[in-house]
This record gives sequence, C-alpha cells and structure tokens, in this order.
Amino acid sequence: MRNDNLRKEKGFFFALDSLIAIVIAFILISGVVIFINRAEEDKFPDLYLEKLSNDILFTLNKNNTLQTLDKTKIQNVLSGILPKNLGAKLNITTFSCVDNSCSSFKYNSNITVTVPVNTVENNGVIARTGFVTFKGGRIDLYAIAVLRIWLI
Amino acid sequence: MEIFKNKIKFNTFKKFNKFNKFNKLTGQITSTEFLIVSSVLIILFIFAANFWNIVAIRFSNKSLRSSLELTALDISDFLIKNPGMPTSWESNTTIIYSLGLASSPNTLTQSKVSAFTTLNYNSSKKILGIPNYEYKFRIRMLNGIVLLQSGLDPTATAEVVSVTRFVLLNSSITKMEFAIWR
Repeated sequence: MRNDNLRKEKGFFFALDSLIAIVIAFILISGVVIFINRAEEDKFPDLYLEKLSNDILFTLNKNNTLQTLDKTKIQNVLSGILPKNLGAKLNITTFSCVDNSCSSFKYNSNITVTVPVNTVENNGVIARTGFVTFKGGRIDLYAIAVLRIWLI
Repeated sequence: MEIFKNKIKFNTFKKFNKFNKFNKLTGQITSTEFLIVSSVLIILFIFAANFWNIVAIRFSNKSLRSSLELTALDISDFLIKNPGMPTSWESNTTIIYSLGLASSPNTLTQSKVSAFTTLNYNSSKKILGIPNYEYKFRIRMLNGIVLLQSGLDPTATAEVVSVTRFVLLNSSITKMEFAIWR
C-alpha cells in the first residue's frame, strides 16, 4: 500500500515535471516565433505611403490647386499625380469668419474628391494641412484638407 | 534441517540472481533510452542549426533590404527638404558638406538640380553618405518624360530600392525618383 502510494507520488512528480517542461518549451517557442514575426514586419510601405501623402498634399497646396476649391480641377490634378496602384480621398472643409474681427469661425462648405472615382476606401495613411483663400486682398476662407491614401 | 538450509540458500541465490538479472535489464533499458534520447537530441540539434541558418539568411537579406529602403527614403527626404550646406553649393561645387536641392520643403531649385546631375558620381556618392551603394537620380514630368538624370542604372541582379517623391520644379508638379542599389 505504501509502495503503491510512493509509486503514485513518483508518477505525479514525473507528470508535473513534464508539464513544467512542456510549458517552458511552449513559452520559449512562442517567444522565438513572435520575435521572428516582429522582426520580419515590413514598416517601409506605411512609412513610404505617409511620405507620399504628405508630398501630394504639400505640392497641391503650394501650387494653389487646393485654394481653387474647384472639385473638378482638384480631381483632375490628383488623378494625374496619383500612382495607379494607389487610391485617394481628399476632404476639404472650409470655414469663414463670423465677424470682421474673426473672433470665431463658422462652417462654410465641404468638398470630397475620390480617385479613382467610386473606389472603395481601404486602410491607409492620412496627411493633413491647413490653408487660407484670399478674396480682394483679404483672407476669405480658412480650410483644412485631409488626404487619405491607400494601396488598391 | 540441512535440506531446509540448502533450500534457503538456493532461494536467496535465486532471488539474488533475479535481482541481478533485473539490474542488468534495467541497465540495458537505460542505455537504450539514452540512445533514443541522444538520437532525438541530435536530430533536434541538426534541425535547430538548419532552422537558425535559414532564419539568419532571411534576417540578413531583410536587414540589407531595410537598410536600402531607409537610406533611399532618408536621402530623398533630405534632398527635397534642405538647400544643402553651404546653401549656395551649386555655385562652387568644390566645397560641399551636404547636398540639398530645395529652396523650401518640396520645392526644388533648377540650378541646384542641374548642378547635382553634373557632379562627379563618386564625389556625390561620398557626400550623400553612400560610398558602398550605387544610385540613380531622375526628375520626371508627370507624363513620364525625363527632364534630368544622373547616376548609374541598376544591374539585373542588383537589389534595388526606388522611391518617388512629388516636388515642385519651376512651379510644376514633377516626380523626383531616387533609386539606390547594391
């Protein structure tokens, strides 16, 4: 009877040993797999898309395309710039001053341009910029442009 | 009595012998176990070594690729966002500390771009900080026509990373392509 108990205990210890060993091995293997997967993650496409979206928005702003607030013109210029493997959605929201001292703003209009037309929006990167439009030598509208681009 | 004593002796011998036999057998099993475990271990070691080799090769390739990608992106970023050092380096190309083509971010200066494309290839590589890589620089119109270019075309077997940036040159949107390869 005592022998039996001892045997049972021995068996129990062996099972516990193997259990601990398996758990440790599993943790180690999982660690290695996670480490390898993380190291293999390619962050370049996102970084490149981010640079590209900022470049596009910056150049559209600098050559006064955005300031026209002309949906057709912006659509044409954007489709001329955008590489064929990318989709883009540009949203421009304009605000005007409430009074002459421009103490606060009110919503004016919203323009949305999608290139290619009717493309489905995917996970992408966002670039933002602000600009103003002039009328009669004075600031007319304040605008925020948000460009989202993604891989098609 | 004598017979009984002999019987005990025989039984003890028998027991001893059985124990001995058992011991020998246990030894043999242990040695077989050892053999199996050793074989499994050797197989595991061989597998681990091969696996490590594969992983190391993949990491090495990935590391080279990442290095090329980041270098290409950094150089293109620097070229389109900085005027260079000295700021009017294009007027005296014998003393250039750093190359930059911009008058303001994303706006290139024609004279700087022209001067860059006519620079000595090896000198420009050194100034850009890529003496061990080769590069190709192009300014294209949006319709694909090449306006200016310099550097070497990559070979068919080379690892190439090319980045395209949108810039303003003479108030027109153009593409600046910078490809780096080894």
